Amino acid sequence: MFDLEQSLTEWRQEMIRKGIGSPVPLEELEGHVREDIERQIKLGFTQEHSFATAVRKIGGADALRAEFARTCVPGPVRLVALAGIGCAVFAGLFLLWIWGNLLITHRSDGAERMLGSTAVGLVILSWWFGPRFFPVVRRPWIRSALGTACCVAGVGGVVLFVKFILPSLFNFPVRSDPPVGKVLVSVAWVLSAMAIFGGMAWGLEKASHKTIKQNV
Amino acid sequence: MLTKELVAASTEPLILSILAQGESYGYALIQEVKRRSGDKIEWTDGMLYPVLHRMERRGLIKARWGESETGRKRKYYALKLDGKQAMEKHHEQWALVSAVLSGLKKESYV
Repeated sequence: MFDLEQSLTEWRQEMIRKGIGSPVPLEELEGHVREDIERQIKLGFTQEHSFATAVRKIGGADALRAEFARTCVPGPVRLVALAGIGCAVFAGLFLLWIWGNLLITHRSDGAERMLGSTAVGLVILSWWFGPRFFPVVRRPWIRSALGTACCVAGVGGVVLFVKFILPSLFNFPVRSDPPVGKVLVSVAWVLSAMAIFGGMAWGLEKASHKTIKQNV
Repeated sequence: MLTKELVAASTEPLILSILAQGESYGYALIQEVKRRSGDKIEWTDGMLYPVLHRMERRGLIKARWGESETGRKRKYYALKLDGKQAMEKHHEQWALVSAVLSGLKKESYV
């Protein structure tokens, strides 16, 4: 017995496997296929015949992917997502190095180590869970603008920290020990902010593709 | 039947001209072109959507999600001001080609 819904689901899965990855084109293509099927059924054809004809008419996934590849993700969006990944990876690696130093140096106390670990934990949690809660921003230029704002916020935060806050941390009495732990914790938190913002720029792009998988 | 090249070249002006009469959606656009051409212009269904998306990105048309009569989600396209201007340009160019061809055809019968 032919199951139309099952066949449509398999068709969607096939499209996704072949790279029609963005939710907007797939929803639209499916709407078209359903419309065509309905029309043919009204003309007296069977569900099976109507489905086969509609799928043949819409075209193969390879050809569609090639056409959509020229329109789906505009260059600026890809660039912003890559910049976000760049920020996140740079800040993440630097943060790990700082955290390692914070843990092994004898000049930091338990509270500072705890604060450093919290910063690392926050970054991991935000990377892991963030994309699940991001809204699906369908308009590429809005995604691009939001992503750019995230990257600017991340990098800008580090620049402001280095220019205005870091010098004051080194401003300690001459005969006392330098506040190494305090400096490391501060740097760790600024880097964690940069890593989170970078992750957000990338996550927005990732979230825009997520509805497909949920719909399958 | 039109040649592949001519079908490709006429896709954008046809879409713009149909949308100039009011918003529409992919499936209806294909049916409208088929009807008006007496089935002589037939677009590959799936290929229309990349063209529509490209035109949307170029700011010629705008899209919105709406609902069909049966309640299913449907993406509607409408003409934008830039699209109207592009359509007028297309009309001028196609009219020029048509006039030149008509003139040449008349002369060849003289």
